[in-house]
Amino acid sequence: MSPPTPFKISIPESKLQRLHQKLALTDFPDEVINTSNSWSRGVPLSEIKRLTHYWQNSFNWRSAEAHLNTFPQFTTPIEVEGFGVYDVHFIHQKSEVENAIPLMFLHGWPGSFIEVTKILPELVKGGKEEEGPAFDVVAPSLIDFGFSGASKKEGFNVDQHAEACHKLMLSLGYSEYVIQAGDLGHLIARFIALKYGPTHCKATHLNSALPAEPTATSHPELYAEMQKTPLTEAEIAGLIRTKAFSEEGNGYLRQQSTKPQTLGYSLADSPVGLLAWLYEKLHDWSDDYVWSDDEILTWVSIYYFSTAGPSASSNLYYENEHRSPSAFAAMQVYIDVPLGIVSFEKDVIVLPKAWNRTLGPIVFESTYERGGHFAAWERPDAMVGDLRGMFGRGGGAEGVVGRRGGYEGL
Amino acid sequence: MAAIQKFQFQNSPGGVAKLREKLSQTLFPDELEDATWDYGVPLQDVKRVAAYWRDDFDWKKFEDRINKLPNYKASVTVDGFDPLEIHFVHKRSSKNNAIPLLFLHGWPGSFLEVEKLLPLLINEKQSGGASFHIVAPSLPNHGFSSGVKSRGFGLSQYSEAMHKLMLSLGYDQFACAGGDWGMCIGRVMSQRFPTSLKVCYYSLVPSTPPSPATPWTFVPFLIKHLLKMYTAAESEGLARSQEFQKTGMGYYQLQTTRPQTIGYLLADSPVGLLAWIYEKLRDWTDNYPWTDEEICTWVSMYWFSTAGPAASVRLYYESLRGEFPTKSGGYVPHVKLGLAYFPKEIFRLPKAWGSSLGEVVFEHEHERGGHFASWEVPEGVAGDLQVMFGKGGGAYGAVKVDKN
Repeated sequence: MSPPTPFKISIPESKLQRLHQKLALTDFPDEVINTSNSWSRGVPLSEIKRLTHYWQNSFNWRSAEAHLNTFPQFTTPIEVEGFGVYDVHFIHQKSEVENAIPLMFLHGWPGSFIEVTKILPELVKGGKEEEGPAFDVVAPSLIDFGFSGASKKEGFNVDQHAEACHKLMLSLGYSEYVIQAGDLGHLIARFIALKYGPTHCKATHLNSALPAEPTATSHPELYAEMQKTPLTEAEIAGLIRTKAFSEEGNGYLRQQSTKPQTLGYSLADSPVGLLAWLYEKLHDWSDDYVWSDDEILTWVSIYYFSTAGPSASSNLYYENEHRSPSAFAAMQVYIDVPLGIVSFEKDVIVLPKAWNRTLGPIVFESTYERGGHFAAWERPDAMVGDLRGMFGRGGGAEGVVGRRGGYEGL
Repeated sequence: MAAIQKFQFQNSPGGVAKLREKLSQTLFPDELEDATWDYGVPLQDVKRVAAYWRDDFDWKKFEDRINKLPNYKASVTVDGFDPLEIHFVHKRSSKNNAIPLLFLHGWPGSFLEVEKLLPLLINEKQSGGASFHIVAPSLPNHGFSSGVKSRGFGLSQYSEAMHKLMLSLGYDQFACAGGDWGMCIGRVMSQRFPTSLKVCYYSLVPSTPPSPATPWTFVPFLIKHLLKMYTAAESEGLARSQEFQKTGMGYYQLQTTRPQTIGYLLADSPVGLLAWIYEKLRDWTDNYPWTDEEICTWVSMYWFSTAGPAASVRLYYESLRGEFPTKSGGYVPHVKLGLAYFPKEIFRLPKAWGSSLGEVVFEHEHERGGHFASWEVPEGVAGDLQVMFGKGGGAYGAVKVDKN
């Protein structure tokens, strides 16, 4: 197998010029005035106008690009059975510690590989007893996202994503590895664990968990136990958040999983439309995180300049829904691979802790009051702490990767 | 009395020029290999219509076609809101005792949907058929009517605006015909103004299954359902309704929850708006052979609407809230109903369920047609109205017309 090709993001100047031409032609809608909750109908007009102005006049993509390029990036061809060969883009940073634990970080939507960049510098450090374990970090762009290739074919489902990510790790010489993931990434991680664990995938740490509710027939013992313990206030609040999401926060999901191509025309053709589509979630799904205009536009630009184009990211939603059983249903099974689950109280779907036990052997659990859906971006400290806790000395997944414990020496 | 003025539509040369420039600058997405309409509008179809819109669409013809109709504007004030300018087509019959008929469009339609009906309904020569004075407005936030700047303008407000319009034209009693929002507004008007609105004709029938509370209808319903004793058309209709719920409701979930976000997408990209609407024109109709000209006419009605394309989706958000949300009403007394069933409607439920809505005096199961019945099968709709309101029809004499 040939080594991966070093990669630097370098968006052609012509694309930047075209973007600016389009921004200059923007037609804005007006807005209904609603003083009590200006985000209740979507992104407020003042926000979009401010960001559009900044995008046109001040945002420096080359500077954002240069910062991203400080992370070692590569591309490598990965064959997916029945579909073809895909160019997979990824960050790969090895720790100086020889026995660092191979960790794959899987992003979701509307995120990207960028989400690893706050935690990566800490994760590759460590290795001394008092510091916690060190990791080699691999963070791909999922196919159809970022700078990986486009799936191009119908039926490229979570199974194919799992295969591609697994093969990526193998291609880098990591036949055993662990995964950190949330959102769509967590779905893929579950399938990787299902198909390639525990032989290759030794453990997963998830900041999204979508277990099914245990019933008297599905999980009698667990159900009986649950009856004895009332839900905590936080768990009740979580269920209320979950209900709100499923009633009025899931329009994007309904659209992307049924008519992704129709939506795609606007996402590809209107930079301001794409901005609104993604920024709404950055706001709604995070816990009072103060997004800078540079952050917002960098995240949006990764979609705007993505190799597959901004509309391709909807494909997986469509495929998940049209899989039988659906991807969400299929991964609500007990997968016997060590599992760590972190719950952030301000995430979009927050389910009672006991339900997680239907998913696998829980070796690590944590909850945070502060933080939302973009855990590694909003609470990098918590994520690093969790991973060190889970995989370090005394942690529930200590030493899962046989010869790579994350510490210097043995 | 609201001030009524004649209205003449004029293309905006600057607007058309900017549209053409944007169309030339379009960045198209890719498409999966062998993608069908399942994923949304195919790329080749959008490209074809976009090119036509930019290069071949006849803007003078568009203007003339609108101006051939008798257009007016009236100022209407709904309680709690600033005055609105309501645009409407008003075509009177030569017969003074003709029935005032309010024709209400929906989304993504427009007042223009009355175009094919007018010559069929204002045909005085048929004996036994009814005569009509037709009023076909642009709903607020649509077409050439004003946009509404404040929150809370829901179905109740739409119905009040339409009611006031009819009263301002001197029609103390009238009938209403519509599908989509037109039907929903008709339902709320029936609840709020039953002394004025006497008859409704719905081409989209929002019936619900009979409940155990009405055993005379519930037991036959149960038997029919358990024994699957629906007609072939009804079974197909039920399956179609379920499929629509499963795969066709993305736009609805978005527009009812995040109208402003979707607004940016529709206002800024003509191709985005085109795809958004074209998908419905195709999915919601019965193999209607839309010409590129027709598609561009319908989309231009939104792109060049007075309130802008983003405003038209606000009703979805408001429709779930306020005094008369979409699902309210149930059985509405005092207003006679004519129900038309079209095979390719977005939902098409068994005929027997129609009695859950009110006093059904006319029913017709059509062989052809879908969501835009007045456009697809205008002779079918016109025929229904003439039979329903004509001598011997279930709504004959229901609307008192001696004051006209």
